[in-house]
Amino acid sequence: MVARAAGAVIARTEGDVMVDDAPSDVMRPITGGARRHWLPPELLSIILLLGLWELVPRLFNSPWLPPFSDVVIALGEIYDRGLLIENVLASLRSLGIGYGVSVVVGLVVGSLMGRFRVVEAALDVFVEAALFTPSLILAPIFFAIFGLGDETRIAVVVAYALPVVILNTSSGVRTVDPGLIEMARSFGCSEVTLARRVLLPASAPLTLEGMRLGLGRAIKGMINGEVFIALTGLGGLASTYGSQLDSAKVLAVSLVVLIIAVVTNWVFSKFERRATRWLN
Amino acid sequence: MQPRSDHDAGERADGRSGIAVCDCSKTFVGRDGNPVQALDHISFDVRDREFVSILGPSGCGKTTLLRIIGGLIELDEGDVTIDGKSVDGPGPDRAIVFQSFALLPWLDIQSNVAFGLQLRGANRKERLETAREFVKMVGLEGFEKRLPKELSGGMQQRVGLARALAVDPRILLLDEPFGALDEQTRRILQEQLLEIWERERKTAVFITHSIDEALFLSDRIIVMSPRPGRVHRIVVNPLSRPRTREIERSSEFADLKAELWDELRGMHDEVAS
Repeated sequence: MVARAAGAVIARTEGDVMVDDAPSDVMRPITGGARRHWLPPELLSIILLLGLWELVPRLFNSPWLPPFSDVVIALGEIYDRGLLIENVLASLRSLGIGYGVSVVVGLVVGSLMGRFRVVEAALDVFVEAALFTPSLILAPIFFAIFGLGDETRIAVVVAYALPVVILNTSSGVRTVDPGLIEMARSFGCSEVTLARRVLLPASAPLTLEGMRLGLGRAIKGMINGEVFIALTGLGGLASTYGSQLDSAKVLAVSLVVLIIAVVTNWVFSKFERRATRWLN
Repeated sequence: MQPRSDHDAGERADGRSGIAVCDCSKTFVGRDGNPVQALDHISFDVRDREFVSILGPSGCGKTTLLRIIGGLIELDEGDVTIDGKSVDGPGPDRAIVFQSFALLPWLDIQSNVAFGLQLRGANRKERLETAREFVKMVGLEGFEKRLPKELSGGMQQRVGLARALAVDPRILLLDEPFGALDEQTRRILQEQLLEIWERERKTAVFITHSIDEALFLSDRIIVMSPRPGRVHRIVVNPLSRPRTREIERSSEFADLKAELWDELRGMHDEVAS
């Protein structure tokens, strides 16, 4: 139950990532036109959904599916007990560190793989495998290395987020226009300067997309790590309430995760759009 | 022409000034895995402040040759020297103008022009001032803050030219710089290049497959033949400088053009005039 709730949350955010992807420019004039409505359609659909969430459970009166207002009340209770902020911060901390490590390592390793055939030949198999392997399989290994501490959960976040950052960065760097590389070399550009001034900016559209997908996966990894490995943070909280069969509180925690996912994705998209404005 | 030949004679006395391409060969591995010889024992020299065009059909290795002089590709055999020193990589004495423009699409025009200076460690103030000066020189004043995608092809190549000139190279290497442009734009840019060259008098090596372009611009034309690339003939262009478009209507121009056509006729495809 708990795992499914968390999974559903993530599926939603990743779904948004995909849908929002390519046609955003094409769509923009339409949303621009829609802005003249008295309510933005996004908000309208949320209100409708919440309305359904409030009404439908009342018809069936099932303890497994509490109405929205009960979930909000449950959220208030969690907050009152001082559990919400503390666990949000704990979760965000492992998310932040894990994602930060993933981005730094991903950019470096991905750039090297994209630039040098040898590095790609050596690492590609492992990175591809890591992308498709459910990272939780690695949990026992992380246990063995890091014990039950923060490091294990951070390692799970990295295991989730890193492969997609590496792969997108390497294909971004690999497909940089060779003419630009040659131009930079003709002005005496060193490899490091080349990476900084040409390869990374030129591959930014793909690299940033990888970082955004990586962010979604990092959130997934954060919750999974907390649910299945160490009962802390939001995942731990949800897991605890799940074992108490308290659906309202489980959904309340899920709601918080969903909000975190949507907000981070929204912020990142803004940043991404700004950074790739030079593209057509 | 007169004062220049005196100058040339002086420089040639020691045989060390300018570019010397000696017995250069280069073989690539082709797509099918078999070796393809791009250059076969090429030799010629380019004097200081001379404008030399390398004319030939596609597949004659002229772009490879330019990249070798630019230090971007290594030779298999032979030697390229600049003022007597062997080329072993790109250097501040040379700058290349590319057929594909090779502008960085995320930088505005001014930053693109300043890019070479930036790589060579110029400070910000110096960069911006120099960039502004060269943006003006190629007639793009007012476009400093635009992105490359907002400019036409001809304007983009002017940025490429300004970027190369901004690092103040002694030698300008131009790789079919106007090959991607329409005829009208290309003629305007030829005139502009000639005007800048008359003023700056940089040594210039200009790759082209257009006879008209080679005749209009250069002092000498190195005609290459393809597969493998060889120097077929070196033609001295006697047309006087400074040149205007009028020159294309002279009988001298027509004769030279006919002569070059005869040279190229036997060779392969894609020789445009």
